[in-house]
Amino acid sequence: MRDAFFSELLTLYKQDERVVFLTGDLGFKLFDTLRDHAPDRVINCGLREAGMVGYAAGMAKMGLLPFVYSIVPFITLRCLEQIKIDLCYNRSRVVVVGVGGGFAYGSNASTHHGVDDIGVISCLPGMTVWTPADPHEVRECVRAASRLSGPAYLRLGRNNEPNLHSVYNDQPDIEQPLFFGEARDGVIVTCGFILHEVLRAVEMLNSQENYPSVVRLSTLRPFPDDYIRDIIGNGKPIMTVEEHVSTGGLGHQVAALVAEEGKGNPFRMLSIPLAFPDTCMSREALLAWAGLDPATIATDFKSLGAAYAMRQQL
Amino acid sequence: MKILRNDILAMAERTGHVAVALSCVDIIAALYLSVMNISPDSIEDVERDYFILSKGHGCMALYAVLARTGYLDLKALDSYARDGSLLAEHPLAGKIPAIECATGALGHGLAIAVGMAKGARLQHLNSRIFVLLGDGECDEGSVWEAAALAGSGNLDNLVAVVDWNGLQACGACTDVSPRIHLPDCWKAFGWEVAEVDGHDFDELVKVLSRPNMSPMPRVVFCRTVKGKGVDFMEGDLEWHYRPVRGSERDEALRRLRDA
Repeated sequence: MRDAFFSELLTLYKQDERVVFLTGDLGFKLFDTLRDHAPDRVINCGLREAGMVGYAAGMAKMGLLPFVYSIVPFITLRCLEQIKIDLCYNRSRVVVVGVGGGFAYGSNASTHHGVDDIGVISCLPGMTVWTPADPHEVRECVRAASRLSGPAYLRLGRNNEPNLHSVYNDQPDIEQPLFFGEARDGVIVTCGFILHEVLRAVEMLNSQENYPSVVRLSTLRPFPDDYIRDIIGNGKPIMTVEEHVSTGGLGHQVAALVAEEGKGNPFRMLSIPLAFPDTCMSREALLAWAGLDPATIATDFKSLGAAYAMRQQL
Repeated sequence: MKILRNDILAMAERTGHVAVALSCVDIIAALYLSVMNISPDSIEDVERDYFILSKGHGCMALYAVLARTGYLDLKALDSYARDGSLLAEHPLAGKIPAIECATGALGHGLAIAVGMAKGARLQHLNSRIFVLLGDGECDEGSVWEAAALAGSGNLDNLVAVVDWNGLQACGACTDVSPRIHLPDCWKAFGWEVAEVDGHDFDELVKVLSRPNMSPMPRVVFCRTVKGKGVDFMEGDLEWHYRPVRGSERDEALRRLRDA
């Protein structure tokens, strides 16, 4: 996803002289191609994330289109008030790019995990929040930047995430939810690159004659309330899966809509526990620790479906 | 300047921060009346000068200056801090064209101003950016992030102005930060440093209008008195907070008139 971001940014950078790339001293060698093309619009702001966000807001005020880049926790929580006031309240068109969402930085440990960013950023009025699922979608987000009228947050993974869209949809529309499967046994709603784990879980379920649909949301702000209400409408089981803590995340928002609609859908929310892991772990191990590995996702969905089937018989 | 102070005292019936506004009003007046390339008719132009009030709680001074120089309807001052008004106790975002951005949380304005100065450079605009900070505000770490960022960009189109009254909300700056001498700190960050009497209009105009001597941004330390113009408020921390009501207000207006 990171390479896709820089490659698409280079295309935009060459086309549009308003594009400025600001980094908090991260992305070694990755922005060299931008610098080779036009050195004055690439600025290493140093380890000054708060200053960098305000700096970007000032540039946006003068008509430029800045991208500010760092690892998720440093470009979100560390400079949150600057994002809130300088970008959201003052309506500055700046794209905040966080690399390493969720557990992407695995063994770098909790200081580098980005598991609370969506909830915190989603509290801020006027923010667009993008959680692309694969490199194709990352490119679409970068292309969408020049159509923005205010700030956006782009949550990247790290690298080597597979391209899912070569299989499912060659021209992804990041603004629209993507629905695939027939929803025979319910729906799994997810966002971001954990879609890959969800699809592996669905393969396991299919092999056991269980056929859920999958909905992936790549734009969480604005949240597609009406779309989710339509899905709730069939009363079938709904499960949410996110690489984020539950607070403020995808699951809570879907749960609120399930409650409001009152159709009695069996519902389960899979998310990261509110706890710092005790030991060093890879992303794969952390997903298992959080119950977000494909096998657990499949098992949890199956038990939700079983409860539904039992109720249908009563 | 007494007219502006009268306007401030009238507004200050409803809120605190009167001493803050009295401290910085001469600086803002000098900028709008004589220093900046800006007028009510040119406010939509991109290529003009810009002012950011980083110490947003001093906004009564800004409102008074904007109203007396034609950027705001004079009657708007009567609505200050009332329900439905566009003049809040800290400037609102995007409501009044002459107010470039919402401020009030301290430590934000300098970084925005640095970005505007850099943006003007990248777009080849002949604009100068002025930003007013409090000395207490310089406690914020984000001020120093921005001060360092400014040093890397040949930003001689940027002027920071410090309202150097020596008092912050709960004490003297020298008590809160005994070892900090602000002009030395800015100098160490590579800024050109100047000093001026922050209540002497002609001196302010002279120093603030002067082009920077080097390719570096400039900071102008304005020696000011918190509560300036009303003798019983001068240097008294109370008036950071207290609204000016009833007989105190009458007395303040009298002292101002006789000063």
